[in-house]
Amino acid sequence: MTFKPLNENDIVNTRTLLHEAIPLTGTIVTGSYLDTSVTPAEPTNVKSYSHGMFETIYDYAYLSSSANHIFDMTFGISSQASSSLTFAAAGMPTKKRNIYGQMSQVLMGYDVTGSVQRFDEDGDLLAGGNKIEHAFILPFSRLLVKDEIKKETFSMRLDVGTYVAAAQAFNAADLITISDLGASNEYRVNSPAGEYGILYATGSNGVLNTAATTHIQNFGGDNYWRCGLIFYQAGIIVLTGSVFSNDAADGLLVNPVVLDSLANDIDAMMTDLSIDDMNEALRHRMDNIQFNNTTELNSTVYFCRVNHNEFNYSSNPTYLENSRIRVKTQATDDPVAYITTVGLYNDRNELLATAKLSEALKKSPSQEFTIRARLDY
Amino acid sequence: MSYFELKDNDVFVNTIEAYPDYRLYVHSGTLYLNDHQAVSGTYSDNILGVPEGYVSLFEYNVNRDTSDRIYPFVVKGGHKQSFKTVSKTQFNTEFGYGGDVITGSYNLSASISRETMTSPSRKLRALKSSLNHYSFWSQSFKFENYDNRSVTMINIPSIFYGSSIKKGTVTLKSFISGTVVGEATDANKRGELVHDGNIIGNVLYDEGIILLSGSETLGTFGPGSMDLRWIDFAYGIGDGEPISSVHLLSASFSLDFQGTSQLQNMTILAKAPEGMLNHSNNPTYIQKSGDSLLQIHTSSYEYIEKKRFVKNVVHSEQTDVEPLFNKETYISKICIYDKDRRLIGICKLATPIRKTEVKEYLFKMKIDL
Repeated sequence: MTFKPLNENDIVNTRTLLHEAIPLTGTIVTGSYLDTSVTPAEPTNVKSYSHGMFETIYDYAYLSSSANHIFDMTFGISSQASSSLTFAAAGMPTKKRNIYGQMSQVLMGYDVTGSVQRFDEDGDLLAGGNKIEHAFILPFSRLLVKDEIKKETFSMRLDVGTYVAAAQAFNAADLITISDLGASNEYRVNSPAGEYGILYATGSNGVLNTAATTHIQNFGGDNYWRCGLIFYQAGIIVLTGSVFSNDAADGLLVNPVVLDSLANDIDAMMTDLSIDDMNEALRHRMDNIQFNNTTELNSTVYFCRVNHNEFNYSSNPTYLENSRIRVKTQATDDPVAYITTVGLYNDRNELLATAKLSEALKKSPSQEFTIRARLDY
Repeated sequence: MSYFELKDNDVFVNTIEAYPDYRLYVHSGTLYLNDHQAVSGTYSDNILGVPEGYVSLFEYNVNRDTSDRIYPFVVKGGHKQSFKTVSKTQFNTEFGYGGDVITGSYNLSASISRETMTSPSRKLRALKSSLNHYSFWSQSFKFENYDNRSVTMINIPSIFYGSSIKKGTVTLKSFISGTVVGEATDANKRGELVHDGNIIGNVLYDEGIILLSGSETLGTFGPGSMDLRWIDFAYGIGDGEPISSVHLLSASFSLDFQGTSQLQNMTILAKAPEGMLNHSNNPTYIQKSGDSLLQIHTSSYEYIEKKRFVKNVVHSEQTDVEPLFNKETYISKICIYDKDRRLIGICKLATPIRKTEVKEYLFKMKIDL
């Protein structure tokens, strides 16, 4: 065994990005796992809480130990927007304001006066512009997001057509697709929670409101409607409530959307119904969610260079037979060794790691090798 | 907010060693893990998407169709990172460096396997060094005891046992029609599996391998009175071991053991000494003033803010009497910083603790690593 010092040119640190494709079909969210023993049937993979501030969605009935938490759902409204609204007792105004305040505080931070910044529709805080005053907020589980959501891979299909009792009975023409178009190259960095992109909606002709010009962005000659934000490292989607609205001021749709069996639209739900009811309305209309996540794999590669005149001898006891080098048949033969293991030592010659070769490598003075030992962490 | 430096005696790391129990039961070629029966799903007999008795890595894709499954991928790059399922030849020939995507698949699974070796075997020879090494525990480990004879190898993946199987916890039982006909244990914790005073095999605790060589008959079963021996242990779960005979239905096997799992736990002691931590920079610490807090006096030589008073929050039984002022704070959280004063952790208290000048506290924070 021979020690050979590694110099700075022999060590290189690399980073590889491992991704996972995460498909979440709407059936998981809208009711694959219904408990039909109660009327109306309730999804067993959606956990509601007595505080009513959010719901948790699992990929299987949550009472099963196999279930994984996939995301939470909640709804918030800014205090500026809600001050002029009249809420019903069941409308949970304080909780909706608190949720908006908390999420915007964490995700958007504060302005120079110390006030919490509202969610900005295009992320350009200095220019002002449209704010997202009320929004569905979907924080995805760390199990799915890992280090971050990969930019420009998020897509969600929502139904904005006529209300039908059976979820998933969607008409393709009524589906709008929401995605973080162009986010690979254009994303915002002015959030304390990391990078975020803008969500854009697109759909069939006549579904989205072409008069809502302040919300429209043109990509390659096609119109896209700004409808929310996606925070990549935090793994949070902020989806404006206007995605279900046809209000002249800020609605994205041409036709109003009835969100529940009581013929409530988004404005009525916002003031009169609970957060759980609003979540159910959104779940009812989810056709598909899809994104890719990213995990950073850090590696150090040690280039172990074996020169022609090195490592041609072994101190292994089996190298000798009757005190003779057993790999030689005659004295003039080249010395030969077989490399099986590379040991990595620290500067005090303490063994830190070993790299085993899948098969022994024959080494003679006529050969040179560079063995690449990679340490992942 | 004050900074205190943690000394050597304020931080210590403990290792908690846990011994999770595992029980595997084999009947008619089917394996049951921890006596659990798989829950049938819409797309397969097991919602986890792995065979019965297998552990699913990450437990992703619960009850999902194959086309809707989460799967991993990497973009081929100069770092040569790929998946183990992609061979070197495939990596070099099937994927380009122009952003080609190499995909893997879930669900990854693992379970015990069984192999019989009836002639000199490469796999057995690969264990020669380990077997001879463990012969200092028991001569029964010697490689010669296994060479050129019928041997059954039970391989337990490390996902089951962690760093090592706990010594002395392995128990093998053979059943005929539900009645135990043979039980082998390692009571001496030397890796010897002993049944009725005879060594019928060995356990390599660190490697997760059980070698069985006992060929004495434990009993007979079925109408043909077939012999059941230790080398038949777990018959049916190995490759190419058909379960066509009705005889086998009456024989079953169980394997019990404990794994070893180590968990590091860091304890940090943070002291709030008396006479310290009695001031807060929180704006609510100051009395509300009718005047603007921004009222200042400034000149070329000075900058003087208006005098402000600390709020008296001392508790009093009487509502109409102002209690004697005492500096008090409420400690609500402790932040941990690195040597460059970068925040690396926050410990929140369930309820804020009142800190007066005469009180001192010791906070004990724990974190699992």
